[in-house]
Amino acid sequence: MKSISKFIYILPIVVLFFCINFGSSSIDIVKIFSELKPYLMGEEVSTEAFIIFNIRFPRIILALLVGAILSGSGAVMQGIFKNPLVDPFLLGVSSGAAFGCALSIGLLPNIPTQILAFGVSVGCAFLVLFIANISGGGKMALILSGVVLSAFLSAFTGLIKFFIDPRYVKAITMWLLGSFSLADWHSVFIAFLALLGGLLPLYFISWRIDILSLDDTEVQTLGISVKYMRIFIIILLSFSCALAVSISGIIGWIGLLTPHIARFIVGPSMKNLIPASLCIGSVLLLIADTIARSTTVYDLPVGIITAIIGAPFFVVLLKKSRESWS
Amino acid sequence: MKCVILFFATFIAIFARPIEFTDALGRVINFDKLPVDKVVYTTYIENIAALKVWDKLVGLNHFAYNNSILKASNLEKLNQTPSLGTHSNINMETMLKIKPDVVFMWAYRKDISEFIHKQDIKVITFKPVSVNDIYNDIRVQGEILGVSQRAEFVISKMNKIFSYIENKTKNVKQKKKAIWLWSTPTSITSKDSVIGDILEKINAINPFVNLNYAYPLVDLESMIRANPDVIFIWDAAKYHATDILNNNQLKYIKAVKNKKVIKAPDWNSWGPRCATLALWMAFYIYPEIFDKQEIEKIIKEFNKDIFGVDI
Repeated sequence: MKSISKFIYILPIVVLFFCINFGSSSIDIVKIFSELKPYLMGEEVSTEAFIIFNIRFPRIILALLVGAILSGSGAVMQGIFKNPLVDPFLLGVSSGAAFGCALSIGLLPNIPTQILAFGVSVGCAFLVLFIANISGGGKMALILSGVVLSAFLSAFTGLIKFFIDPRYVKAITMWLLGSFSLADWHSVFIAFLALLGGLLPLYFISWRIDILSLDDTEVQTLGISVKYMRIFIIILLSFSCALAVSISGIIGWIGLLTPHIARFIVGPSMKNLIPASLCIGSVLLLIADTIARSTTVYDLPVGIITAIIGAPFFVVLLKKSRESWS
Repeated sequence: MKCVILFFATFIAIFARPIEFTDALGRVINFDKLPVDKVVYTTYIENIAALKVWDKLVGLNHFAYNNSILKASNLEKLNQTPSLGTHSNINMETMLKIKPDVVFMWAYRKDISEFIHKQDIKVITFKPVSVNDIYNDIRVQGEILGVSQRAEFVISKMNKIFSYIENKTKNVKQKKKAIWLWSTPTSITSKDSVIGDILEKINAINPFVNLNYAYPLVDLESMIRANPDVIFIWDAAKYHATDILNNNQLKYIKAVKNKKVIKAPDWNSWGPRCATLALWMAFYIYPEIFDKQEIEKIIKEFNKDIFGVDI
């Protein structure tokens, strides 16, 4: 297991160079890299080089970053809620983003979808914290507030879909399934900010997250405020997940599945679990996106691929990782 | 006696009305008598003005109230006609209250059309994938509403425009590539669609014509590889031509380099205006063989003749 765990950290680089070869156009990658310098200097390059540097590369890196964010967030969420079935979207981030997307496409066409999706999902996370706070601030209150608010916003998303022209509904549905089809260097930069701003601080306080997985009363005796610590972590996670979702749409399963694989390999300690989840999640999402964009002439929504692969894989994994959870 | 029988047999054969129609879902719909008096239009709404059947109209799609042709044609009647909801959510209570003789709807929701049919209301579903399908659908509506002659007139006017386009473009030396984008910049038009058929009639190349689905999603790499000369954007798309023109990732595409990215006008491609839309597209694809003023004149005349409006 120890050799596997070391290999995990170089896996994203290996898979990146493997996946760069796949795409709807057949391109000789080795030849293309000779054009890297002129591309970086802003000079004219061949169409093939342009496709690699400006379309395929940002898409691959974005898939790696979003996969890392969702998986890292999933690992932390499962840890602080002591629940293996929790994913980063538990606190209404995805329903908030979906509502923001429906608002943008259906009612407020002048506001970009990404901005509304991010704004509403962050707002939704704060609302969950507020509702949970007035209900005692416990773990269960947080989970239930998330579930209730998700249902509430899903109803409004449905209402918008009901009233708008059916031709717009397809755009909303496609966005909800998640895709990297419009990935560019700007979205890579945003995802990078999300990873740095959300998950890097969490890595530095990983020992505190480990403590949060103990019983609440035990944590209090150590002089740590469970309530404020949890709120701080949730704010960071909501920030990075909302940013990730706003640029890629809702991609399920990665945040739920990856922490289980990582825990199976490196154990439950957050110091190892967070980086391992980041690496495995990024690789899984990159592979899923490569399948989505290269197996057919169409650009399939990546959320469909993650669900098709994720669901059966998760069943097997749950059985195998039963012991590491108990 | 034989002569009398022969006379009646010939009379019946000539004047017997076809009262059986097969719709887009493959169902055979029988009518006891034609023409019918009360119609609900949830699709092909511009045919109300084209076929001049305002007097038979008893219900509409919720989105019809914003249609520029209908507003210009008969705003008073438009506002008086009740809404029956949308394609996917039809208000059944209103439907039963109105009790139309026939409902014209999109074949998108089979369950809804079957439900209405069970309420003893005739439903004809449509799903045109070519200009010829549109002609046939106009003919069917004309026959059911007793305005066959008017339907033929509309078809002949449409056909005249398509013949004009075909004559102009048949000898183009170098065919140009054109694509039509829908709700997202990677949602394109393939075969088995009215727009795909229009591109073919214009004698343009649709680089995505060999894909199996009418409106698939493709990746940006495929768009660059396709390298179209002209890009059309669906009028209701949330993004604009400038979004495509300013997208650095698409700068290698000819249409972007030459600033030939155009958002379409809000002309309904499912109806008579597919002809004027084709003419408009043809002008942008082959500007060297079409005269702008002449095209504007043709479109204006068409709208006057068909819809009776000055648009």
